[in-house]
Amino acid sequence: MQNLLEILVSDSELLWGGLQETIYMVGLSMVISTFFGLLLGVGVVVTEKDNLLENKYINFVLSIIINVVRSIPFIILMVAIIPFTRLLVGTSIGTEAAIVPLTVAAIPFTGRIVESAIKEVDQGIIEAAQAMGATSWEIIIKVLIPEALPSLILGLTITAITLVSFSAIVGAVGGGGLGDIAIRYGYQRFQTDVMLKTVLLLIVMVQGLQGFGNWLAAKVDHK
Amino acid sequence: MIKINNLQKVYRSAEQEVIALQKIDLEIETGEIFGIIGPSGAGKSTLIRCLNLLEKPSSGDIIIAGQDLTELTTKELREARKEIGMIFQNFNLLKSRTVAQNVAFPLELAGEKKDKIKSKIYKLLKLVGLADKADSYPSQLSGGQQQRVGIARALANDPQVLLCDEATSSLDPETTNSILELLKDINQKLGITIVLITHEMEVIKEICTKVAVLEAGQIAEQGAVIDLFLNPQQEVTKRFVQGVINADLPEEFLFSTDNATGNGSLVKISFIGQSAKQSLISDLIHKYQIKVNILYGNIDKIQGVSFGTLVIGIEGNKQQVKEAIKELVDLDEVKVEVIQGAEPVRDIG
Repeated sequence: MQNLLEILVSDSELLWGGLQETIYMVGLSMVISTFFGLLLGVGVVVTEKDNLLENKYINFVLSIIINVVRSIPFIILMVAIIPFTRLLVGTSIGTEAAIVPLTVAAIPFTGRIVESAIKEVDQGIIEAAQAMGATSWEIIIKVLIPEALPSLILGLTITAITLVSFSAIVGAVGGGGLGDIAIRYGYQRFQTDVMLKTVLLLIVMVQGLQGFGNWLAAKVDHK
Repeated sequence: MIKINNLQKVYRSAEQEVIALQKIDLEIETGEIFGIIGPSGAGKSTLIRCLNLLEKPSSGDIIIAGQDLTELTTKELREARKEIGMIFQNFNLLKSRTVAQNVAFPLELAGEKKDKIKSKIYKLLKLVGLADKADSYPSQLSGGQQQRVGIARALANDPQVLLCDEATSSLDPETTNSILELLKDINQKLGITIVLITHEMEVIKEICTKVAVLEAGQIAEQGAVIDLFLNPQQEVTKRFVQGVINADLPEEFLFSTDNATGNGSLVKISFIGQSAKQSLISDLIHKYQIKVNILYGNIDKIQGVSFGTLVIGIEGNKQQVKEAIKELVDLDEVKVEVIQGAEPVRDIG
């Protein structure tokens, strides 16, 4: 018993540090990718044929961006954009550097999620807003996004959970965080208890995120 | 108030051209409740959506309050739309907003100040009888209540015109009546011009002053509601009128009445106004020594005018029956149609 407790609390400093790094990476890339993902997702919907700001060229470009980036496996994307990462943060190693590929991968992912959430909004409501003299911008801000909010929140929860898993991959190439600890201590040094504890932490984190996402979505859903 | 000149709407795709509306000319006076009725697919929805340019006409003019909407820039059109309220079959309320916030929406768009919005919301909700539901969400309301919110929202910017796109079609009859009462009330209190489309003749009968019948993208017939009920000219109009006043008799009646004696006639009589209250039939019986068998009778009110329909079988001396019918035909405000008889005279009137 004594022993088990010791095992549980040992390495707590290490793990706490890793957890903080993971939260930092996921949190920051989440914020940035939500912003750009919203632009991308809303953009691709409203530029569609017969939509608010129909423009087949912009629509084509935005769809390409979403599909191309999403079809590259994350581990390859991460390596492929190292020059871009260096350009932005000056290095390709460490937590800051990890945020770049995470964000780049999450933007089109979020874009697609935003797209499908926005498309669920009843066409009749958009028409009603047009009949009241709303501009396209007002429709996007006051109608599309608020009406799609519950779906958006659930979708963004998926993005966040995907980012947690991606953050473990960047850990493998020196990105820091829980993934990094699991690989270095758990795998390379055969410290199975550390490995288990990181996995446990990740499970708790994902559960927490999903629970929070569900709660928030239900709170804003008045359908 | 509203003038439509030679409106045409054509949908073009690569393979084909569909003419949704053609040669539409309408004039709607200020303060009128104007109904547009037609079977589904006739182009009603397209027509009403052309009125605020949700559908862009292929050609023709839409003139509302002296302004030709088809000639406005996008920005001017948005301003013009604030003067035209609209309600919908599916209400189209914002589900993420409360009732009060829904009503506030057009006011926000118009850039009104917060405190003005607040007092306006209260007035509007009171007008539609939902003052106690301000903080409810649309999903918590019944269909009729949601349409009331829709009406309050449509009236927020004090429009001159209210467009109703099948506004009662998804409501049960009782709720439909209460919404129609509300529209009538608003029309009288605010003097707002109402244009409504519907496929229910009941709705036209209940609140409209004038009506246009739309069939296959064209106006088949238009005029005062009472005239159309009394004297429908087109087949499509007759069908709609029959839907409300169904004086069609079961077939067995058609054979029994006249063929039994050989001298009988089946006559459909429509009365209007004071004549509906006269003791016409008993006068006839006395005067011409005929037997009258009442097969169907109905009395209704359209725009406050009594409107009666009677189908009678007349039996007796051939000459007497003929003269009796002639007397009916000669009366003002009475329309006679001989359905079956020795002297088949149709549509005299």
